[in-house]
Amino acid sequence: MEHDFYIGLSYGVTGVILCLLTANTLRAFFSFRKQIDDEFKPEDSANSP
Amino acid sequence: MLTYANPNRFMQLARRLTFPVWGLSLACLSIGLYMAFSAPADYQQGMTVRIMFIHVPAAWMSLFVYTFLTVSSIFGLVFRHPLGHVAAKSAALIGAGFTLITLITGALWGKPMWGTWWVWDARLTSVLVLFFIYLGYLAIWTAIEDPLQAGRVSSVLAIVGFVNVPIVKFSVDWWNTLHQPASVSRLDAPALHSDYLWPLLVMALGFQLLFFALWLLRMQTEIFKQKLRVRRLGLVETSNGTAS
Repeated sequence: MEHDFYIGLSYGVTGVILCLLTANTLRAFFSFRKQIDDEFKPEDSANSP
Repeated sequence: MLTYANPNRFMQLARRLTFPVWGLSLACLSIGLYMAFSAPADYQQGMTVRIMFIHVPAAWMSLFVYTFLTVSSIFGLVFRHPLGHVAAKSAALIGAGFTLITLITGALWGKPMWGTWWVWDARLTSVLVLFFIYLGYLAIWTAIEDPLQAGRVSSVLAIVGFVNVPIVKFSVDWWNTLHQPASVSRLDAPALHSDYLWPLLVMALGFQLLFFALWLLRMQTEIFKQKLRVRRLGLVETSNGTAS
């Protein structure tokens, strides 16, 4: 029973760290991709015939 | 390899690879977790042996990512590879995350097995030093605004800090430590039964693929940042030129 606590906490902490890392990565990726789209799209549409 | 030194070509490749690598990594981690929780109890450690399936792959990843970071830094600093510093910077936070997992799961495994959360032995201390080197590397990128200068300074730290990697790996052979010696990466044969070895290897592959999935996204983010920075600097210069 006591061992279950250590196993659960190990897997739980690992899950939380990996989820935070993934969330941080995805948030930054989509945020900068949106900025790129916003800044470069007007130019692209102006250049297109 | 050098073909992908061009950021545009790299972006094309990264776009194609990102989702398959994510899928493979999630599949490997799901299978690995199933195998880990189906493994039999160890005759000495009981079910606590299951902590090994995350602690050991995370420890391998912390060393692998640091080696990757150092090689990328050398490419950036010595060979002036355009993506060298970007590749190193993109790997750093992921490496720090794996090292933190190693430290926390190690403490949680140590308490029931050794009777203590922490001892200042060579293996544990050198992994803690590795974590601080990762933090120092990230701090340099946060503190220095100019990416070229930040890349140079952080690369020097990464290359100097690499001396800690063999210390982490061989600390259990060079000094008397509470931590056990290597069980899998031995020259003869792994000291682990296949019931434990296979889940460990599948979890390690899952962590490896997760690293590449996260790294590909972070690389693309860094390239977006550079594009925006160049464009905004260009706009400021144009507006300054118009004003004068």
